[in-house]
This record gives sequence, C-alpha cells and structure tokens, in this order.
Amino acid sequence: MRISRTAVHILLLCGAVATTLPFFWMLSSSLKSNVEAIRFPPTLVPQEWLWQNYVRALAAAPFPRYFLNSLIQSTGVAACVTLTSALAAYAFAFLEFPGRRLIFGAFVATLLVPPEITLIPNFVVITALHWYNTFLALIIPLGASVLSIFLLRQAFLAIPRDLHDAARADGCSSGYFLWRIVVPLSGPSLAVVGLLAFLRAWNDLLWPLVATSTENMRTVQVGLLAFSQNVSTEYNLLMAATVMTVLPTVAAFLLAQRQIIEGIGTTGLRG
Amino acid sequence: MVRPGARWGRGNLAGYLYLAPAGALLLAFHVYPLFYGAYVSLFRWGLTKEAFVGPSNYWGVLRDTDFWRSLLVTVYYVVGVVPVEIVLGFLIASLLARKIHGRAAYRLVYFLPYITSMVAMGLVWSWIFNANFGLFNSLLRLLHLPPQRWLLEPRSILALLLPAGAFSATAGPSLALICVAIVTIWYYTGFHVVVYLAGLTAIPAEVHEAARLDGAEGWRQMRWITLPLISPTTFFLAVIATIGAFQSFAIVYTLTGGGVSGAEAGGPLGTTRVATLFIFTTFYNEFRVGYATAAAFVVFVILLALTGLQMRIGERRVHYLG
Repeated sequence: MRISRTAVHILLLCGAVATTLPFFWMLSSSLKSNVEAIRFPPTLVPQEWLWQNYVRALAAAPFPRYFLNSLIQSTGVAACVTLTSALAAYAFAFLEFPGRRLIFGAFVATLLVPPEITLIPNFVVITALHWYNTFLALIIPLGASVLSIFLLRQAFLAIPRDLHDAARADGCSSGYFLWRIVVPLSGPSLAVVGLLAFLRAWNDLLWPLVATSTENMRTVQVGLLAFSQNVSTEYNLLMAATVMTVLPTVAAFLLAQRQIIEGIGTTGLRG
Repeated sequence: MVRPGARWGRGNLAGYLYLAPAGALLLAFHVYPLFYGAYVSLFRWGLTKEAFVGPSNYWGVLRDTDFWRSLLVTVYYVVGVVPVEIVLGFLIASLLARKIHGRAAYRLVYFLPYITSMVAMGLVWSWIFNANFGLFNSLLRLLHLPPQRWLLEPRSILALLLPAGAFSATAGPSLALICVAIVTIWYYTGFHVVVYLAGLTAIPAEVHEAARLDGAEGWRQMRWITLPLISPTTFFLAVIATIGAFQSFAIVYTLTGGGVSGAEAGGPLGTTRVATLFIFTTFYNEFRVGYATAAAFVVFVILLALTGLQMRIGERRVHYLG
C-alpha cells in the first residue's frame, strides 16, 4: 500500500513506545524513592537515583536462593531437553527402523495433550514418587519437548545424508557420528533449543507453584509473587525485584536474538 | 533402504535406543497423565483417593454455574485477544516487510515482551493499572478525566459508558477482563509479528511484480495477493493463539491478585476467573482433585471441538501456494 516512509516510521515508533513503556516505567520506578514512585504528576526520570533499592530488595527476601533454585531448574531443563531432543532428532533424521513415521506421529500427537489435564495427574505422580518439593519434580517433567525435537530434526535434515553413509561405510559408530559430526555442525540450533528451554523454565509459574511448597524451594517467579504480596506498598522495591527477574532472560535473548527470532519465525515454536 | 534380513539388526535397535529418553519422558508426563487423569476424575479425590463416584464429577461440572461462568469469561477473553493479536501482528509485520531503516531494531523491540516473565510484567502492569497511584489514572487526572478502577472494576465497559441502568452489570466482559486482555495482547503481538514477517518474506517478489504489471496496486495488491498467500500463516497463528489463550494462566493469575496462596485470583467478583483459574483454584485451594480433573477434561473436549472447527473452516478458506 502507498504510505510514505515517514508515516511508516511514525506508526512503528508509536508501537515501539507502547511496547517499551512498561519496561521504561519498571526501570525508572526501580530507582525512585517510594514517595517519588507514587507522586502525582508522575516523574519519568528519577530525580534521585537510588541504586540501593536493588540491595534493599535483595535483602528483603531470599532472592539469592530463588535465583539459585531457578538457575538449577532452568539449566537442568535446558540440558535435559537438549540431550533428549538431540538423540530423538538424530534417530528421526538419520536412522532407519520399523515404525519410524508412526512413532514420529505419536510424538507430535502428544502436543495435543493440554497442560490443564497433565497438571493434576503429574502432581499426584511426583507426590507418589516422593519428588514433591525437590529439584527432580522441577526438572524431569519438563525434560522432553516435541517442538525442540522437531526443530532439531529440521536442522539435522540439512546435513547431507552422504556424510552419514560415508561415515558408516568407514565403520564409524552412530554415537561417534552424532557426537563428532552432527553436534558440531548444528551448534547454533542446539544453542537455540537449549536457550528456549531455559527461558521457558525460568519464566514458568504454574508448575513450580504446584510442585513445591517451602520457601527454600521457591523459584524466582514464585518468590517474586510472594514478595509482591509482602511489600505491596513499596513499589520501588517491587520494581527493583522485577527488573532482576527479567534481566537474565533479556540478556540471554540479546546475545542470541537473531537465532531465536529465526527459529521462532520459521517453526512457530511457542516459548 | 533397510535390508529385509536386517530389520532387527544392530542399526535398528539403535533407533529405538536414541528415542528412548525423550519417549519415556513424553510417555510418563504427557501420555500417562491423560489416562491417569481420566481415572482420577471418576473418584472423589481429596489429598488422596477417597471413593469411586463414576461419572458424577462430570455431571457436577456440567451443572456448575461457576464453571460455565468461567467458560464464558474464557470466551470473552479469547475473542478479545486472538483477532487483535493477529491483526496487529499482521499490520506491524507488513510495515516491517518494507525493508525500512531500523527494521531489525523494531523487530527486537516488539519481540521483547515475549521473552520476559509473565509474572514480572503482570506485576508491572498491575501497578500501571493501580486505581490509586497507577500511571493510567495519573494520565486521566492530567486530562481532568474521572479515574477508573481498571483491574478492580467488575462492571462492563458498556455499563461504564452508558447511563446507569441501561445495561445490567453482568453484560459483556468487565473492564478488569479488558485490562487483562490488553496486557495479553501487549505480550504476544511481537510473537505474531515475527511469524508473519517470516511468512511475508517467503512470498517471492516476482508474484508481487507480476500483479503490479497486471495493474494491481495498493489495497488490491494486499487483498488479492498478500492476504491469500499469507493465509496459511494466519490460519496457523489463529489455531495456536486460540489454544494459547484458552490455556492462559500466569498472566491472569498475577494481574488479578493471585499470590502464592492462590487467594483472590480471578477477581473482581470472578469476572476474570477464566477456566484455567477455575480448575486451578478447585484443585489448589479447595483440594477437590477429582472434580478439578473432570473440569479439565470438559475444557479439553471443548477446546478440541473448537480446534477441529477451526481446522474445517481453514481447510475451505486457506489458500496454499503451489
């Protein structure tokens, strides 16, 4: 359609401002005094930059513990998903075995099972296994992802099959081939799959809320929610805590944004 | 090719071994729970199994006005969120598809909400919407407009705009639910932009060129070339956005005051209590596990029917290239 370049930029800038406003407000408020944070009319830039809000927020709740728990959970999930997906994607992309298409279809079909249904049975299962309130409960149920398998399978299919046949003819084992040829060639895809699994686990609320109950097992999201109720009148501290929760994911995203955006754009992988 | 004699040889076994870890986890935490849930839903089940009650949990759910109300709220939410996400996503993506300056930067900015946590952004937004000293009410005060209760307002937007008594308080989605929808749209639009952008750039330039030679410009180019060619992407996004919105939890829960105790979630007056919140609070706060699981199955069947309907409509309307 014929819209001038200036108009396009004005429209896009309006959208960009609307998108970033909450981030700006969060950052700005996290540095204000609480009096300034709720002042009318609102100040856009803090008059006084109170960096100690971050120290105070950290001291007001066991955030280091929450971060450690989330780090263990998210790293565990990322490692688990990357490993199980790489193995499965390798089988689907390179190996011949009876029922391969059927099994692939069955894997994809599990996407239809909604989290509402699995939530309660999984809770009953981890309780029966005595995993309630442990890292096993936070990690293992999230350890396989069909969308990740799908993404890696696509990446592996881009590797010439001749390479596989030649390696086989030379007596190379499939494990050696996967580890020495496929993995190095698909580094970026593996990184994206791992990172997306990390982000998904880091940002998850429902499962850690259900699978843990004690404060020392709380993840960042559950801890932040608890914190929000304890300091409901100190918005500057609450905003400092939300900044700290969001910062690691934004940093990870900025590091690998091109790969993540392309991975999502082409596969529609949701989180 | 597999040699007939070697079907169960070493090479074949390897395939199953490589699939085993992912397969076992999917089986244990996605497939088995489906059957186990069906079993649980037939019992009165509190902290543990209590008594077999047959299908009576299902009859209970189907007669539960709170459940149907939560479904109505879900429908308002889905209908309010999905079309807006798709239209906004498409408009922004088609502006960005013009190879303008700063395209990568815009894409990055729009995508940013999607990788942040819903809990954190829910808290930021619930303060922006705060009735006493939130940003929005500050803006209204600067414009000398009456402040709103935003997330605490159970009345519908029609009831607020029209003279008192013109509409009943329960007509349409509450202002609180509309606020939740706005945050959801803010969160997901960037995802739609990115998927649309990938779809738009995949349309060969020659197709547009040929249409231009035939005299199609501007709106006609959009109506007869771009929209039909992008329709598989639109269809795909409509299906997954509907499923996603049906399953929204963290964003609604955080915005409506759900904390670690689960109290208050779904307020004011239950006008933001979507189906997932109904299931969650029935299970988590009331410990009616069998009943909650039955409700989850009813929601699942409804969602399955809805997706099936979308697929049927999509089959007839979607144009695939080639």
